[in-house]
Amino acid sequence: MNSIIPIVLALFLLAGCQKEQIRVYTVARERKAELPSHWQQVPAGQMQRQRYQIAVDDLKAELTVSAFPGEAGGLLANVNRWRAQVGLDAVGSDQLTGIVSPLDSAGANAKLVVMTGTNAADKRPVRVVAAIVPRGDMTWFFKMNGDVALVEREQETLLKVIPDLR
Amino acid sequence: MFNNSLNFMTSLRLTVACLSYALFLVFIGTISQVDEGLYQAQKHYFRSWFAFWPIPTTSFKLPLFGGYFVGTVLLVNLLAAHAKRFTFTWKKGGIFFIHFGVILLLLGQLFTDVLSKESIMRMEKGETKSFSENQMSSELVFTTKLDAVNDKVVAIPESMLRNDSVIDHGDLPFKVRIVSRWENAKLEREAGSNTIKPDVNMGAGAEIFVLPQKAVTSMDEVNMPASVVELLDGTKSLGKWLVWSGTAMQQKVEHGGKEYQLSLRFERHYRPYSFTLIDCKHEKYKGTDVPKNFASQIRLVNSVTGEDFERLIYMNNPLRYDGLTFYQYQMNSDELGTATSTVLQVVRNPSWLAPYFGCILVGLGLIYQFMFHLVGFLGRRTS
Repeated sequence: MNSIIPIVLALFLLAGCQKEQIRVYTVARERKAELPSHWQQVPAGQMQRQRYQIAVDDLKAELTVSAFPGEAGGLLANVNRWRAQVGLDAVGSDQLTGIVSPLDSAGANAKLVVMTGTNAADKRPVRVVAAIVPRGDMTWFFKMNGDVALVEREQETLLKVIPDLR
Repeated sequence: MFNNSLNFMTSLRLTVACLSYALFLVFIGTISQVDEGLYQAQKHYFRSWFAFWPIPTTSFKLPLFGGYFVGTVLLVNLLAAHAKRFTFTWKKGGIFFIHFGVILLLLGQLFTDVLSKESIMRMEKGETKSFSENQMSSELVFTTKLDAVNDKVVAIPESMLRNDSVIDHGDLPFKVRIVSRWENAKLEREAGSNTIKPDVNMGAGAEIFVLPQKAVTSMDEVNMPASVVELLDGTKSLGKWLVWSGTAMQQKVEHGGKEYQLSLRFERHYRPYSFTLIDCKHEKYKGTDVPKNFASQIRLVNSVTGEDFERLIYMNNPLRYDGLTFYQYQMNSDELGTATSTVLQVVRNPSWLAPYFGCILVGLGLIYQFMFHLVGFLGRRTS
């Protein structure tokens, strides 16, 4: 019996090693995009990650969020694609000044594209405000388009929430 | 006494006794899964040093040695017997490898049980998270603003939340007394036949009734513990709050000019990097509900190392990062069957390679021992 006592005591000591302790630590406060209540999320389309419909009175706009690997066609190609969607002629790379401006608040090398054209269906004037944000190996696109007055009004909110929007 | 202990620990009888006892323990642990569930039974009988087995139809509890105890004695027995009796010769070289492999297997299992941690990371599409949760355990949490972007968290583990226990910690300006605790409960707005009106005078729980639930044992279900917590400034009560792990809601406590957020939540493990669920897919075999594939496209951003990349995690293709393995675990879909959120299982197992090396050593030892005898036999036969 004497032979077992020291062994059992040693195992009791081992058993005492498992007690849990109170943990004290620091964490970054959770950041969530605080979107206005009139931005209604709707099912995203193909190639889109998120899509919102925005409506105030009879004014309408839409926000789409998408991301693609690499440069996703490059700045000029995307600008001209959006210009075509609102009935504007294509521009050359030397004509981007005035259409494209830096958007440092959204990240390094982020760009803001603003253009006004017409809706192909009803010929109403429409505005496109699009942020192109490189994040790692991906390029993210936050594109709001719709009635000029509404897009102008919502632009500031959009730029504010982009860092937290995925 | 030392020699007696040494003789006892090197005894082959002890080996046989331990193996026989392990069989008995496995049997007890297996039948106990009926009442306790898989996780609790494993924890109770195998991941413990000592256990009490409630003998069916009686109120008597039989004290038992737990799995850690038997495994440790077996390991010490094997090592001691090896050191005392084994003398290395080339003829017995294979046996040496086999023993070493078995020791590695035993140690690997012990380290896996002691060191491995499992938790889950649940994310909605588009959501970013930098923590995983252990749904088998909860914690009472006090959060306070540290600066403009950081919070300080004091997390009291579930094992300390016992009825009438008083917790006094230097990082909290008050003592915490656990007035009552339910292992699993629901909250009701209206009084019912089985509801309890908790003794609460502060926060959102003052108008709420607690409906205690039987603790769940199935691996598919989760206990939602609740507690009534009293905060004390010395002996003076600051109030009593009801906390429940089933809600993300935090309750405000003001003391000494500082604001604290109080909540009971599943134990969290924060990481210095974040995961964002970009997309998730839940594919089924055509015309059936049988899952064919779960896949989650995630983006990992590590602000410390500057890493920022996307990966596809799917069944049998986990992501290994920062000593952790992220497995595709579950998928939740909306009514149209489109996957809307994913659950990744997060496993930290520092000794995950030990069983592989153990098996390789045992295999090499067997091959060596067999070949040694075969070559010897063939040599004798030729001569």
